[in-house]
Amino acid sequence: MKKVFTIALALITLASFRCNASAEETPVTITFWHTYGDAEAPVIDELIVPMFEAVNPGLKVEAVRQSGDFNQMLVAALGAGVVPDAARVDITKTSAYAKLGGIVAMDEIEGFAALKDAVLEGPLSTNLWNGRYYGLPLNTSCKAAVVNLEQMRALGFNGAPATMEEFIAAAMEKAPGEYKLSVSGLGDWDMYPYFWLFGGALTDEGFTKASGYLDSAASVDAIKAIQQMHDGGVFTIRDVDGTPDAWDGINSQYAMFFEGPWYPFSDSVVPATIPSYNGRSVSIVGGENIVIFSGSDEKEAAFTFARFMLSEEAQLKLLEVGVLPALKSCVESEAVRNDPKWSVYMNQLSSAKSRILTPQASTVEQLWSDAMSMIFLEGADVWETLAMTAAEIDYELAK
Amino acid sequence: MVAMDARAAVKRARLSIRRKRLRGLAIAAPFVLPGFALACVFTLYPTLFNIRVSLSSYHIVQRSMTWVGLENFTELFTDRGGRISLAIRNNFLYAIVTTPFILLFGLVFAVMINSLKRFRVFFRTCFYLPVITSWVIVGNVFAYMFNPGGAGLVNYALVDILGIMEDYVPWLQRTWTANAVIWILGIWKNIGWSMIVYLAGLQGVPADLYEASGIEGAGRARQFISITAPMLKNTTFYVLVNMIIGSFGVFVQVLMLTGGNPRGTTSVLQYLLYDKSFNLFEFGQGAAIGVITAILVLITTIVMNRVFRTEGGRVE
Amino acid sequence: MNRRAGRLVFMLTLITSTFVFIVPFLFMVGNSFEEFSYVLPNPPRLLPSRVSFAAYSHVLSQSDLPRSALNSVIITSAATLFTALIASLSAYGFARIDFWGREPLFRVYLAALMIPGFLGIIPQFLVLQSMGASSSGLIGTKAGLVLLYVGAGVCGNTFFLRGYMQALPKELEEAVLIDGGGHMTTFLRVMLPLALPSIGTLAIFCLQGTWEEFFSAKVILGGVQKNITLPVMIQSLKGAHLTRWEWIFAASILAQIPMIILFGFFQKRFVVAGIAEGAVKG
Repeated sequence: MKKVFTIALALITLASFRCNASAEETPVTITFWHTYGDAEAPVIDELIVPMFEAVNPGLKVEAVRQSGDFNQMLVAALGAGVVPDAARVDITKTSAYAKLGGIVAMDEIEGFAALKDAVLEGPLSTNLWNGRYYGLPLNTSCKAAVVNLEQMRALGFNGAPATMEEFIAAAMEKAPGEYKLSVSGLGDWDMYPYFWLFGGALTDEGFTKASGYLDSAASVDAIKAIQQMHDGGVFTIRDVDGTPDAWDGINSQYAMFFEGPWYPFSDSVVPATIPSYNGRSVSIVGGENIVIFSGSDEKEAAFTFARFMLSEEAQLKLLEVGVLPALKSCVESEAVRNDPKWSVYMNQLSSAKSRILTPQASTVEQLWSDAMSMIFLEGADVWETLAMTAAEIDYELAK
Repeated sequence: MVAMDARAAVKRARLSIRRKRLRGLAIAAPFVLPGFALACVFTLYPTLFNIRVSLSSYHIVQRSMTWVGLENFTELFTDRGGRISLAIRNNFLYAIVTTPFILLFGLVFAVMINSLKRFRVFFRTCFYLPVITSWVIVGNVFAYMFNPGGAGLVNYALVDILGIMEDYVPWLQRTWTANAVIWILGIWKNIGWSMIVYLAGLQGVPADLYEASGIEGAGRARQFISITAPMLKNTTFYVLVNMIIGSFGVFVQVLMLTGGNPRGTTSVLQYLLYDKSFNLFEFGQGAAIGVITAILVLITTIVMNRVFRTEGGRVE
Repeated sequence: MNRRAGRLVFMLTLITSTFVFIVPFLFMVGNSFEEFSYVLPNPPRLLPSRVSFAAYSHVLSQSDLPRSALNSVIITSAATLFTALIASLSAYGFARIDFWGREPLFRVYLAALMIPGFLGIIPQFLVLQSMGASSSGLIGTKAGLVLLYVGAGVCGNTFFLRGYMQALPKELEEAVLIDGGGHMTTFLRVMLPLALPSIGTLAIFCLQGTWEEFFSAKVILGGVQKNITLPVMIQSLKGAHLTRWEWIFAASILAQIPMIILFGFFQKRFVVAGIAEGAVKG
């Protein structure tokens, strides 16, 4: 087959087009794919990479910014074995890449143990698959309440309310039928925080079983509590009610929604801890890991880069543009503690829960959205739907 | 003797046929071979590869396949969500709904522009604009125009400006309105193409036919029905076939507008293929969807040939 | 009087439908002058509240835009050139040379038209990787993408042009053949000039298709920033969490201009005339 391709190539004589990949030169180049945003990417390109190259002569980094279709890009690259050396990937995707065999178990690399102890445990656990660590947390995130102070004042609160109970009561009394709390859709990232807040549970601790948890009485009650808040005109789901998006509406009609630290806050729209329900505040963990590809020729150099990305220096530089550090030592640093925004998020992190960690995460997410669509759009029975979904998730987790 | 001669003659004839074949091939080679080589490498080989993958469990990194027979197909059709049936339904609905509009409006605009004496280029370019605009761009714009709340241009126009509707509609969040938006985008994007093809078809209608009928005092509408329309039969057929076959390739609209939500009710085959392969890593099932699509296109082509053969056209 | 009224109604209808038709573009242009803090205005605006080219100067100042525009120009012209060349050669072969196995082979080409587009992306990726010297082969190179475009379109384009070539009269080429000229002479001297309008049509369609193609371009070139094309670049302006829509709109409009000019310029000559020559004739 290879011969045919070569002949075809010769025939079309496009060879001249090839950019001349310069012959083996001394500096080793590490390709690093990421999805840092508009504000963050310049920090990588203009600060972090030069800093790294200065302390590691002989190593060069080519940081490539990817867009929303990053996952598809990576899959195609894995398929052809043309992968970067390292990448920053979503925490929920890490185990799937590990299962595909695309990324290496990092715990066999020298120096891993020290890094493992230096990072936050929750985010670290997202790298675990089949008893091995396939990456290191690069940054963390979670949702906190985004609060419109003026709207809250109208409801009788000075700042964010402390409990969900009083918020709901105030909204129902002072602004009946006007949605004051908003969420975009029915997916896991949107709905889990509410589901957990009202007492629901997805699986056991080790993510092995959904039956007995997702279909428990507590979970059914949680969904019913969300339904009640929705029917009561307090809580709106954009994709169900066709209401304005939270990002837009928080500046005018909504009093609160939950979002990550990337929301462009202002003087009147500020972050706050998610109000507690039954005395408990809950959030959802987000963030990214750094992974090294099995197809990389420069695994060691890539690890050196990963180690640099986990240095306090690099982590704090990125914090300036809103990337929450995954390093334990940074959590307690002045930069975090004294910042009105980051301190909220870092505090909230202690009550933030992880989504179901499994290589089948995308399928599980689809099952969850399907279940929520059935309940909220089609009016399906809550218990029946959750029981059926739990059985399906069990099947996926057993894969 | 006679038999021997005959045998020799047959042999000679065979030889000469073989030689002729070879000569023919040698003559054709410089013309056909470059294209053939490329087709082999980029179309035929990938197709065979996919048929093989559709019958396997494919491990993408190791590039190994385990034979699983028809398991990928049975899994697709026994999935509780019924996503494959929904996708097939939506593909056919898309073809049935969009094609008539594309044909009709393409024809109407072509006739209108053709009757203009000035500004032809301007109008043609306006209608052709969507055709030459990237799907990525129009996808973004439509997603914004059909925003669920009052920030969406369509909701704003219908509710606040024109007052036709009472409430804002969450267009992209409900099965049928979302499908409608997918159709509207498809119609809007393709009308320009059909208009251009009709304009080309109209150049083939001899002017003296109109002159003759003009003398007889036939009205414009009359002229259109008795002269223009019959002359455009082949053009119509060409647009029809292209649009119907093209309907099986619908993808970007769904990706950018709905992601198949809610619950796969706005999904189409190509989107499902993408979702299975790239999000869920079920490469075997993804390839199986490709095979199913190819079979459906084949059946549709055969049916169209049957239906329209009497009309004189033929889909190759 | 009646006639004039009819004319008026006619023009009004045409102008109204044109307006409705280009609303999405007006929306895009209008909003490219605005400045949003990541959310579009509520209520939406069709006409801009200001005329500012800040978004344009921003995207133009990014080194990515001029570079990816240049990449797009190179890739699009190379793909178009090679497509036109290979498709016309191949179409001539199928239309005019009677070689053994022609019809079955052509049927295979036709069957290939029914195969959904990007299903092949993974095997195509493997093929490109196996070409060339380095371990990544032609992945990430402009040549690789050009080859993919030309190769993936070869069946359809051959089909498209063969129709035209078959329709052309045979007498002229027979004269050349009798004069002792081979098929290459016939192809260059007779067929190419005669088929030029339809080859032009093919080229224009190819140009448009290549210019806007996103999926393959993203997969093949997405890993090598310096080689990305315009659609890939525009899509990458869309952030994971935050999107500056005015940047996307401005970049989209800029990316559109060459195609509009090209089409405006060539529409009569190639697009309309070329189609009229072949496909839609009986």
